[in-house]
Amino acid sequence: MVTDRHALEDVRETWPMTTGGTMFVMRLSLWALLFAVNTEANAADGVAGFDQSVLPFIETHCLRCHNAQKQEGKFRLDTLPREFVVQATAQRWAEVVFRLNSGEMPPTKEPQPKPQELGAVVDWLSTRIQEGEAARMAQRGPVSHYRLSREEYGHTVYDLLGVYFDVNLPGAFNEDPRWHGFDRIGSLLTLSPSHVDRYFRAAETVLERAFPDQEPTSQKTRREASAGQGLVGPVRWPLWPGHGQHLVTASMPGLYRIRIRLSALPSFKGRLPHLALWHHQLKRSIVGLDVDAPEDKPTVIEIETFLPEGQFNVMNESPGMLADGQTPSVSQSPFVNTTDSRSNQPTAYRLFNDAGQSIFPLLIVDWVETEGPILPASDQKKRAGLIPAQADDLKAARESLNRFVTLAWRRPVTDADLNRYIQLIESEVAAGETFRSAYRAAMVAVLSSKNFYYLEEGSPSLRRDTVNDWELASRLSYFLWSSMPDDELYGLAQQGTLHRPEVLRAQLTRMLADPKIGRFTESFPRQWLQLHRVGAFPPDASLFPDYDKWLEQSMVQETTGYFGEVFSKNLQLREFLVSDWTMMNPRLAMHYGLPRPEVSSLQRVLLRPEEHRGGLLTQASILSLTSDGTRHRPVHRGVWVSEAVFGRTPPPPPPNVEPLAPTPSDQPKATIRMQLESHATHATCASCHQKIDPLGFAFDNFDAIGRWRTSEQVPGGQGISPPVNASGQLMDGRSYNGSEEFKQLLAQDTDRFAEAFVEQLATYALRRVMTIDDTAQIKAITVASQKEEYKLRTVIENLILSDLFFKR
Amino acid sequence: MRRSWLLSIVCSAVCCLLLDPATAQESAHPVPKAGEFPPPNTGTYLAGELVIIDPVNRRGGLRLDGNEPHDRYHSGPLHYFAMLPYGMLSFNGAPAELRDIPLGTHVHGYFYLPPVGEEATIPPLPKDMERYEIKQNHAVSLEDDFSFYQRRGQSWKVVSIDSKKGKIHVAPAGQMAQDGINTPSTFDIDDLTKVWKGHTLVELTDIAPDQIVQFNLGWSPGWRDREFTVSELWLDDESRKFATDLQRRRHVKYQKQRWLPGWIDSVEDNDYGGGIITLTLFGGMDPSLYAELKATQDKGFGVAVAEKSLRTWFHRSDKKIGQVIEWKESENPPSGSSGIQVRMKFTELLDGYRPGRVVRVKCHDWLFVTMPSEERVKTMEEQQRSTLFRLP
Repeated sequence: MVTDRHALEDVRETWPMTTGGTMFVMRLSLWALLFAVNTEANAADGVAGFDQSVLPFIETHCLRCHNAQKQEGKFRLDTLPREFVVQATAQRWAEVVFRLNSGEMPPTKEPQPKPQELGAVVDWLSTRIQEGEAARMAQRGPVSHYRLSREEYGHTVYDLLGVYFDVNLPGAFNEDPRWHGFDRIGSLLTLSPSHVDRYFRAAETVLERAFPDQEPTSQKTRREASAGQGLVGPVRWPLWPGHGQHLVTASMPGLYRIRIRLSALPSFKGRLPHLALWHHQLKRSIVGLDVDAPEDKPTVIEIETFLPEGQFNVMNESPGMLADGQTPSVSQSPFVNTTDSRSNQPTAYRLFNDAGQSIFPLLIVDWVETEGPILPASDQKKRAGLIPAQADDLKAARESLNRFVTLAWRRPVTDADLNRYIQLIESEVAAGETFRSAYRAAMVAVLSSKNFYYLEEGSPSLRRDTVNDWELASRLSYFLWSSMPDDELYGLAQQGTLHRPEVLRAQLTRMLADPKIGRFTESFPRQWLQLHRVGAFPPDASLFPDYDKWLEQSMVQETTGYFGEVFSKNLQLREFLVSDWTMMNPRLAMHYGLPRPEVSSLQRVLLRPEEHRGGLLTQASILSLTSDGTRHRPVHRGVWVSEAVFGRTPPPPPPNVEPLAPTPSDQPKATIRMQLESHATHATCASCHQKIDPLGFAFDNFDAIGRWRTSEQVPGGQGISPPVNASGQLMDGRSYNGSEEFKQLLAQDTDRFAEAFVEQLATYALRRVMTIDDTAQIKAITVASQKEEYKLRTVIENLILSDLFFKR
Repeated sequence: MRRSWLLSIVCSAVCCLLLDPATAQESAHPVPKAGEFPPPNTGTYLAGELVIIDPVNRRGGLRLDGNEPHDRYHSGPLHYFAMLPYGMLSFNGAPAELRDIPLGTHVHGYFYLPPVGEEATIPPLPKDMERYEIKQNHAVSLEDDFSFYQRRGQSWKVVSIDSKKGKIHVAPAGQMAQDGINTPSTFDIDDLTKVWKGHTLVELTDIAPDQIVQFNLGWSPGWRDREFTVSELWLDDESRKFATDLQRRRHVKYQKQRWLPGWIDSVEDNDYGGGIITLTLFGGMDPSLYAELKATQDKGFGVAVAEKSLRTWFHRSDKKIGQVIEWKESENPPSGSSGIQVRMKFTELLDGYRPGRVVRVKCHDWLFVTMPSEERVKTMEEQQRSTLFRLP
C-alpha cells in the first residue's frame, strides 16, 4: 500500500497548535467565564486565610521595601493579587516563597521572623499555589480533549483490530509525561508534530498487520540440544546466569507459542533459575518466569506471548556475573550432566561449590519448539466487516468504513465525515492504487485522525456539564479496560440508555468480570503508587549485589498483584494499610528472608507479625521507590505517604539545601535520621520536616531495597553500626514505635485514607486533576462507600454512579 | 657428617619400632597436606650439588653429598625433587627462584614425603636403583651455602690459605648451624674461585687469615669423601650485602611480574555471583613485597589461579580483582607461610579458587606483563603433563 501523507492532510482535521505545541479548542469567552468562576471561588476561600495567615507577616517583614513608594528589586507586594489560579500571579507568589524559603528575604540586616512564623506563611502560600495549580490544570473549555496514553493506544488497536502493537518499542511512541504518577492526565498529554508522525506510522503498521496483502502462515520449528554434534546420548544445553542460546526466531510480530523442555536447578541457597526470552535487537527480555525442575525430571514450559520481530535467546536471567567475555564459563566438551560435566579449567568461572552443588541457578535445556505467528479466531473476528469483501464496491466500502470509523472514533460518524474518506479511496484508486490498498489508506487516515487518539468530551456548539452516553461509554471503558468500548457499550450508547443507573450498574458488573479488567488492576496501582519510580535509581551493585532485574519486577508484581487480590476478593481499602498477607513469589521470599513458596508463580501467602510485612507500605517496591539507590530516604518516604495515603503533596524543598554530608571518618557513625534531625533544626527546613519526617521515619527498619534491619550500615565514621530508631509522633500527637504501629495508626483513620483514595481513583478515571470544586463529590462518594466498609469494588461502583463521574 | 647420616637413619628405624606403622610414618615423616603448612623442624635435611633443574616447574636433581649408601656417588642416581608450592629458595642471602641458582651450586634443603595424590610427581626410580631412593622428595626450602649459614648466624673464619696446594682452612664462627658443616674444615680453592671485596672481584691473595667470610661450595674430585671446592667467596660485609642486594633486586622484579604466591584457605560463595575468599601468602619473599601489598590494599588485589608449581595460565587475563576486607598478620608463622592472611571480596570467582589451591596475588600498582609461552599453562592436557617431572 502506498499511502501519501499529503493526501491524508486533506482529510485531517484542522488542529491549531500553540507555539509550545499544545492544542486548544476552546472559545475565549467561555474560557474566561469558567476562569472567572474558578478564580472567584478560590479567591473567596483564600482571602480570609490570607488576611489571617500571611498579611501580618508581610506587613511586618516585607512591605517596607515592596510597597507603593519603594519597590526593591522592582517587586511590589502590596498590590499582588491573591488569585492563585492565575498563572502570572501564582508565579509571583512562588517567587515570594522561593525568597523566603531560601533565606534571602527578609535580608539579614532586617528583623528576622521566628521559624514558626516563617513556616506558617510558606506553608499557607505553598498550599494555595498548589491548589491553584490543580485548578489551572483542570480549567476546561466546552470541549475537553484527552489524548490516549501510549498504553491505552496499544490496548485500543488490539481491541479494535486484534493487532498487538508494542508501544514501548524504540521509536514507537514517546513516554507519556506523568503527574504524580498518572500518565493519562489530559492537560499534560500534549501533541507535537513528532506525535502526529508517529501516530501515522503506527497506523500504517497496525493496518498492514491487520489486513496484510498476503496472510502470514504459522510455522513450527524445533531445535534440539543433541542435534548437529554428531553425538549419541543425552547432550543438553547448560545455561548459567547471563547465558542464553539463540533458539527462537519471530519472523514477524505476532502471537507465538514456545515450548521448552528443560531442567531448572536452584542454587545451593535455593534461588530458582529465571527463564527469559531475550530479544537480540532490543537487548531486553520479553517474558520471564522462575522455573524449578530436577535434573533427572525435566519439565516442559509453554509460553504463549506476543513477540516483536527478531531473534531471541532462551536465557537464564538469574543474577550472576558470568559473562565478562574472556573467562570461560562452560567446558569446551558437550554438557551431559552436572556430575560428569562438572570439571572445568581452573581459570573458568567457579560454578560448583566445594560440596559439588551448583552455586548458581542453572537451566539445562533439551529442546525448544516455536510455533507462530498464531492468529486466534477471536482476533480475526475483530476484523470482520471492517473491510469490504469485494473490490471496487464503494457501497460496501462505505458500510465497512462506517463501522470502522464508528468503532475507532467511539461515536457515530456523519456522512460528511465518511465522504472525506471515500474521496480519499477514489483519489488513490485514480492514482493507480489497488482498491484494497486505497481502502487501507483511508483506514490509516482514520487512525491518524485526532478523533482516534483523542477522547473528546463536550460540544463546541453546546455547553454541557455532563458527558453524553457515547462519552460515558468511553470514559467507562478507558477507566476499567484502558481501551475502547466494546459492542455492548456501543449498543447502549446508541440507545441512549447507558447513563441509567440500573444499566450502568449491570454494565459495571459485566465489565468487572471481563478479563480486560486486569488492565485496570495492573495500571491503576502503578500510577497511583508511582511504581514507575521503582528502579529509577538502580541500586548500587557494590552495596546491593543481590539486587537484580527480576527482583525489581517481582517487587512491582507484588504490589500490583496485591491490588488485584484486594480487587478480586473485594476487600476493604484498609487492607492497603494493614494486613496479614501479601503476594509473593520465590524471588521476593528470598529477598524478605521468608520460606520459599511451593510454586514459582505469584501467590497469596500469610504473614506472621515477626515478618514485618503486610499492607502496601512495607512492600519492597514502595520502600525502594522512595530510596535513591544507595540509601533509604526518610523524607521521600514521608512525602510518598503524604501523597498516597493522605492525598497531600508537601511543598517542594527550598533551593540550595545543603545535602547530607557523609559521616566524617573521625566521628561516630550517624544514621540518616540523626543527620536529618540535625539538618531540620534550620528555620527554613523545620516547619516542613516536622510534618513529613515522622511519616518516613516509621520505615527506618527497612533499607534502600526494602530489607528488614535493626541497625543501619553507615559508610565512614567510627564505631559500630548505629541501631535504627523507627519511632515518632504524628502531627496530631499520636506516637508510634516502628512501622507496624505506624500502619495501625493510619488504619485508625480509614475515612481520611478512603477520601484520598477516591480522589486518586477519580483522577485516574476522569483523566484530570481533582480540584476544590470536586471536593464535595469526592466526600459524597467516600461517605457512600463507608456503609460498605470501603470495599474496593463498592468504591469503584460508587464513583461510577456518582455525579462526579458524569461531570464533564 | 657420616655419623650424623647414620644416626638419622637409626633414629628413624627406632621410632618406627616404637610406634604403629601409620603413626610412625605420620610423626617421623609427615606428609604435607593441602592447606596446611608442615609442623616446624620436621623436614629431612639433605644437601648436595644442584645438577639439573626444570626452572619452570620448580623441580631439579641433586647429587647428594658423600657416597652413602651403596657407593651412591659412583653408581647411584641424583636425588630428584620438586619444590612444595610454599617451598622457599635463597641464593646469596636473598630470596630466589630455582633459575637464579647456578647449576653446580652446593645447596641445603629440607624435604618431605610427597603430598597425597602427588606421589607420581617425581617418578619412581628404576628397579635397579630402588635401593638409593629417598622418599622425601618435596622440598620446603633450598639454599646455597651463603644463605644457609648466614641465616643461621654461622660464618667462617679463615685459618689459612695455601694457594699452591689449592687449599683453604676455615673454622666456623658465630652461632653454629645444626645441620650442614659446623666443624673446622678444609676446602679446595683455585683461580676459578671468585673472590669479592666490596663491589669488586679480587685475587686469592687478598684472602688472609682471621678474615670472616662466607662462600659457596661446588664439586670437587673428592666429592665422595665430602670434599668441596669454594666456588665463590665474599671477604667483607660490603661484598656480601652487594651480592644479596643484586639477588634481592632480581627476585623483586621477578615476583612483581609473576605475583606473590599463596593459597586459598576458604571460600564463601554468593549465589548471585562472587563471594569472599580468605588466602594466606606464602613466605620467603622479600619483605618489601609484602609491605607494598599491604600499603596498597585499599586499591584491591588481582588474584590469578596457579598450579602447585606456581605456574599461572594467562595471569594478566585469568585473574579477578577483589577488595581487601581484612589483612591479618600472625607472628612466628610456620615454615612456608608469610603469616599474612587476607580476606577479600569478589564479584566473580574462578573455579581455581578452592581451599588448598595455589594462587598468585598482584598488587594494584604492579604492571601487567605477559609471560612467555613456556611458563604459561595453556590447556588442561598441558596442566596434566606439568604435574610429572620428566627425568633425564
